[in-house]
Amino acid sequence: MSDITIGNEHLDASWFLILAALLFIIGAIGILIRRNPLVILVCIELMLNAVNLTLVTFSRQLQNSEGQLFALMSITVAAAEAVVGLGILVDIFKDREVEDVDELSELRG
Amino acid sequence: MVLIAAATAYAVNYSADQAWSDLQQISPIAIVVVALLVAMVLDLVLPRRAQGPVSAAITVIGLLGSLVAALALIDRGHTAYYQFAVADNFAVFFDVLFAVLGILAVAVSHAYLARRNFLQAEFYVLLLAATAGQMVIAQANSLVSIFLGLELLSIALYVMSGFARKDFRSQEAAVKYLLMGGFASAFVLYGMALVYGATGTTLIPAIAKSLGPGAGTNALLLLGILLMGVGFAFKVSAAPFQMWTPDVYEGAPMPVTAFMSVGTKAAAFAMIVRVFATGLPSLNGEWAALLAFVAAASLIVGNVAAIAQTSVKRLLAYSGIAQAGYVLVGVIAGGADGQASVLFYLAAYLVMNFGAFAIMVVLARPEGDRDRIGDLDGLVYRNPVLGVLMTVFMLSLAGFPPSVGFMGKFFLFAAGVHHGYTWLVILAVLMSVVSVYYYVRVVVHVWTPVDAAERRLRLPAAAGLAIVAAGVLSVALGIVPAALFGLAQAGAVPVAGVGGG
Repeated sequence: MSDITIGNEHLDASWFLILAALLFIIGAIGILIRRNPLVILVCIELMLNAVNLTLVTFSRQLQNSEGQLFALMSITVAAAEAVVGLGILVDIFKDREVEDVDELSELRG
Repeated sequence: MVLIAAATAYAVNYSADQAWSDLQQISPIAIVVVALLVAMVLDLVLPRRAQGPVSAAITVIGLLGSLVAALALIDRGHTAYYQFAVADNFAVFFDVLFAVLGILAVAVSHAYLARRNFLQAEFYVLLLAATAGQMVIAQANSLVSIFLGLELLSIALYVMSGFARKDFRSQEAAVKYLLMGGFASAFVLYGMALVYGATGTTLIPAIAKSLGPGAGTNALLLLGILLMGVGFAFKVSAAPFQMWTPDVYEGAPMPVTAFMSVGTKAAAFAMIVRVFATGLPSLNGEWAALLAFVAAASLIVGNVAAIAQTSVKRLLAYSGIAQAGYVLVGVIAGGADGQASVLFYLAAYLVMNFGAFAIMVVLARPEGDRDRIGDLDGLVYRNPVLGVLMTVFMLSLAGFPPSVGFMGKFFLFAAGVHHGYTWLVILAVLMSVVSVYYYVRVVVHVWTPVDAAERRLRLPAAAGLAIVAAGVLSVALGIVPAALFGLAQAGAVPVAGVGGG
């Protein structure tokens, strides 16, 4: 039931979940330690894709299409977010080179 | 094979009658989306000068239509689209709230956009998109639709907070909001994925049904709840996940701050109540403990940090963090009375908080917002109506009787005590005493005499109407809270097995 078959290979579904969890953690750590806004945006995409992998794995494991539906929606949302995110970053890069999010510090108090 | 068979079964069974009936259930959202599309197309064909007024008119008409459609659904709603959406009274309450918020936002922004020479049609399109996102959250009955609504709202707000494109502070707010918001969304999504994995469904009522006696020890489910809780706390700007709030509020153009301060908070609370109270009733103890920690942290951080602020935007941002703490008391209390108090307070928060921000919108100059607390000096002499109403909004936020803020806090705290969270209510009361200091500080500035040389402040008609309406409601709903509380009670989601005692 929890086996996933690819060609002749049988793999336990939990491996996919562990891989996804690792990807998610790598993305989260990247956001916390990297300072370049573009890299942070890439890390967010990595986290979202880790969740997509989780969703399709569960969908396969549970023999239930809702997870695939959810993953499709989340791919669409991630694309929209990337477009808007890159738009905002391009707009700000036109005025100044931001290589470090800590340079964005006009707002505090 | 199973998947394909299921998909075919859906296609065969979906008749035109069903499609029409489903569409009626989500008509408040559909009307907003149609208005959005019309505004977007007209923006392309109309001459530049007509764009602003026409898109404002379309936005207001669309939101009014949505309001009427929502009112028509009272007591008549049911689930639609294979249970992915629902139009119960809880959803309708929030639909009405968001439509009213949108109309107030248009009224307040119209003169502001012209004065600061911003793109007008684009602003209204984004406002409609954000409103549609809020309504999708309100009417969502599945984790999938909640996530879609959340992102529709968030993505529109990322752009709106960077709307003053030439202003570094606005750009900075947009980038910060984008990166923090994206991070939070990933947590929400991962939490939802784990809950789906643990329960085998994304439909909220089905999740509630699937919870067996062993649910409290299901690690997957508990981790999912924790991750969703973290993401929701981000969105509702509750401590310890509040750090983006003051910066984004301060950098975003003032009408955007006014809109998002109420809109994201109400939408996020709709989401929290729907997912936690309706979807996970038997795990009440687990998520209530998590939220109680978040509420206590928000009450302390928000109220203490607000004291030292010199910018009204930042002051209201920290006040918003504290207010999230008060509302969480009602969410944690649960039961019909707890949820009714949450709905009541969110409606109260709409009039008083939006009113306060709306006055700051009127103060703005063509070169930028004026949000130093000193900019309010002598407001009551420069424009008596604005001065008096600012006083009303601040005292209402502080919770003085007979304002709506007082009644709202009273209902929240009563529900909290009733359901055994006395320690949290004591903390909330102590902290609202602290909050009196910084709210009254604003009032003192409003009443400080200034040189007669300071010219009188002109009040644009639409903005004036919106501010006066908010002010009248802030007092009237405090004196006669029964009507609104009745609506809030009707809107509370009936949940079996939570609180009740």
